[in-house]
Amino acid sequence: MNDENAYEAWKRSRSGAEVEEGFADRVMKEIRRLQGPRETTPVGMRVLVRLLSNRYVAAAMLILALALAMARTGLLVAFILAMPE
Amino acid sequence: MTEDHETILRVRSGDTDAFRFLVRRYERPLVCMIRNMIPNPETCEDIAQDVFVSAYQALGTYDPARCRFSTWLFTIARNKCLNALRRQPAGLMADLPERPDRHGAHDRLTEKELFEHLDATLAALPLEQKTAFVLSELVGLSGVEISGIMNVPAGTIRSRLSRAKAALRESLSRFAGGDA
Repeated sequence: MNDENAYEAWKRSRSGAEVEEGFADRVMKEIRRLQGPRETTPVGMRVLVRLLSNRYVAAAMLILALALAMARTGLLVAFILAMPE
Repeated sequence: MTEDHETILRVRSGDTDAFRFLVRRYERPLVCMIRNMIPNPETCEDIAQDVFVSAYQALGTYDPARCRFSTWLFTIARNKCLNALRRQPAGLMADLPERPDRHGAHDRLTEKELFEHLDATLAALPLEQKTAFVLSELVGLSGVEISGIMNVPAGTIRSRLSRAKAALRESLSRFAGGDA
């Protein structure tokens, strides 16, 4: 084999690369591992938790809940008083 | 819009699995590059995996208006190779093998011996020449793309490439001729 043929044959042999079967699976597995566990909490619950983590929103929700409870109690009392003896 | 760009948009919008397409498309050229840059073949696929994971994590910073995805990906690969070479112990760096001492009818070098000599010569080239040679002659990238990856003008790439080729040819002819 002369020098030029040897040089070209060497280049061809080094140009190809065999990649291990399942290499892409390994990469994707590593990416998912770094992303952490998949989110399984329902979207509505996640939105509610995010809203309640704001103290002003949490205070407003508490006031609203109290107001609703008081209104319900008021309606109940009015209903009892209006009942015929 | 290229297929790569469409895939990148899908990945950015939350379709992680779409990234597999990019891995399958570039795994071979990337491993070819790393295998010829790093003397330790056992670590090649680990480095290639690291390149893809880093690319996935930095995908938000990739700007298609600045360069092609392949240029961006090979730039990450080049940086990983440079880091791996810096960590490599000095003893692992290739020394040129001596020519086998033969006489008479058996004084012909085998293909394996010639290839090993060329491998060692490539490994001993200055890093910038080696990178230009590997990307151009072994991976098959264009001069413009290599210029983007190495961040130097295309003329500099041509000159590095020609010096690398000359060094390999000269080393081979000295080795085959028995002057090594």
